[in-house]
Amino acid sequence: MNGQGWAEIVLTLAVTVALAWPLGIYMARVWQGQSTWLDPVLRPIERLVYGACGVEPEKGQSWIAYAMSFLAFSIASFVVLYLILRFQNLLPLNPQGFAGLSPDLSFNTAISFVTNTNWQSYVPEQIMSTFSQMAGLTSHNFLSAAAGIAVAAALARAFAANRSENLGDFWVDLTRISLYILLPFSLVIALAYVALGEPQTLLAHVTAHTLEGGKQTIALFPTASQEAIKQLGTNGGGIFNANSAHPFENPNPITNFIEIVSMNVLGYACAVAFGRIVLAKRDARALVAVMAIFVFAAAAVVYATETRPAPALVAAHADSSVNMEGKEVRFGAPSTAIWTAATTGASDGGVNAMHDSLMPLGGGVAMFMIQLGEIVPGGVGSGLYGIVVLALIAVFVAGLMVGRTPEYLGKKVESREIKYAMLAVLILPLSILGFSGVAAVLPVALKGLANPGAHGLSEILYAYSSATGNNGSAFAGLSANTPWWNATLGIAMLLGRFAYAIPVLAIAGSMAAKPKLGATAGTFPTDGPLFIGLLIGVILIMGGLQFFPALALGPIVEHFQALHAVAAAR
Amino acid sequence: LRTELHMLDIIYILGGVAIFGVFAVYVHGLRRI
Repeated sequence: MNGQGWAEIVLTLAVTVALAWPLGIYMARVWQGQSTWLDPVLRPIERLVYGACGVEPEKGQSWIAYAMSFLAFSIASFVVLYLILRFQNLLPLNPQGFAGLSPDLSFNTAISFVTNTNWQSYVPEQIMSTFSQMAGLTSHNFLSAAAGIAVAAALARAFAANRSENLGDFWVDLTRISLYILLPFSLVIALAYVALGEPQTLLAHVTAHTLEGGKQTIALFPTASQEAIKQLGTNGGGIFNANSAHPFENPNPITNFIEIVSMNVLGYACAVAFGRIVLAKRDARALVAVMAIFVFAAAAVVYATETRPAPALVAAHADSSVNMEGKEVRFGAPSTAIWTAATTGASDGGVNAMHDSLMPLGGGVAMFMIQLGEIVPGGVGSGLYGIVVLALIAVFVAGLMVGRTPEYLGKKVESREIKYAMLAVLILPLSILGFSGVAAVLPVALKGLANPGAHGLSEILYAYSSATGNNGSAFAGLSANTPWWNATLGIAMLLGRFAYAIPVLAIAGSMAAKPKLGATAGTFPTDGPLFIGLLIGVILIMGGLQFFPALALGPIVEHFQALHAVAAAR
Repeated sequence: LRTELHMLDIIYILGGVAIFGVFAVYVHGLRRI
């Protein structure tokens, strides 16, 4: 560890949070249907989309209609994407002549991209046609991200509403968020990536002649455009198997910096936009503070664990000051640390190092960040609604302590909202621990493991945490392209996305119908250090209580096993 | 296309749609709380 490393971590985090402010202000205008500086170009396109799809923007929807629209859109997306992947051999832009994906892989991948997870059980450059990449996967990088942000926008409007049933219109939100936020910012970032050396071409590959006289086929894709929305939409699915450790996806430290910032900035910006719409800017600042504290803490732990000598190398009496296994020498340990914290806190899932090769505690922190529910700062939209759910639980706990009906942002929090909140948060342990428990004893699942013992359990636990949290990063070491893993991880992704978002929309409907109250002397302040501490405690207790026993059997045991090996060697 | 469509495709597509159907029922179930 050194000052330069710490400076890189702090600077990256500070720039991300600073950029979130103007972006959040702009985002709030988009969520509320207000005019923006892009109107002259985009308003005619927006009207055309509404006309073509029969959307009446002024009408609005109840929470049930909003949830059903969200589901209807996702069902249609799932079926169309399944068919594109399955029959890519019959579709254009397949210069490599790739066959269609298997049924179970098509199922897994379609769900993965519809739920904004982007888990990849395959090697993209060896299996996915250009058409599948662009029309199938990249388009869903935009649409699934927009759908997540739409739910957050509905929740924000619900807290701002006063005795209303109207949450806004899902189709309007989907259109406006795609057109006004994701498309223009992705375009600018993609152009920057092209300037910085990322390929953007429809060519299948180039052939290089090596110094030894051999031939090497180097895969090419429209990488820059995919990379931009991959990070901005917290999708994370790479065009290459090595993801952002591949020099085409992440050629240099500047692209590396832009990728880290862009994978978190919209998560923080959603909280800023929420605060402006609900007229609770200071409360939103508290949410941003909680998010940033978790990311910094996780980055600090990973930086500390990865800049110690690797125990296995110490045991072998090898010279080792930094654990560089699985890391890019172009980026080093501090960049790996802040990336790992950002990508696992954000449900992004893109990686610039292999998480399987982190030290046990570093890998454990990555897993724990996902298990917190992808709320710090979380996926685009989903991070905001996730942390608001935990904020409701936090004020409920505070209310129990002092014997008052809790309030949050001018809305009374009653038993119905807490029941919805608990239904949402309990889906995480149900899916992660349930599936992991079954997979840990089923021979058909264990066949996919590369490692026995504690590390093997970590691989299982990480896979289901990543799928349920809609993160998508892999711990590696797990051969997941089998019917068991493809099917169960697909179901886990669906549970993590919809069994969480639906109760959130129910909370939104319930909150919108309530009167907006002013703060009184008895109102618990939700904008100061006391609330920040309480919310951090609730998040840690929810994550810690639910997952600590499983983590104790995985990364924590592995940590002590590594220490034991070092002690025995000495 | 018909010759390439496998029975497993029907199972996976209908299985996926059925899960979404369960979520739709869940939406209506939450109204009762």
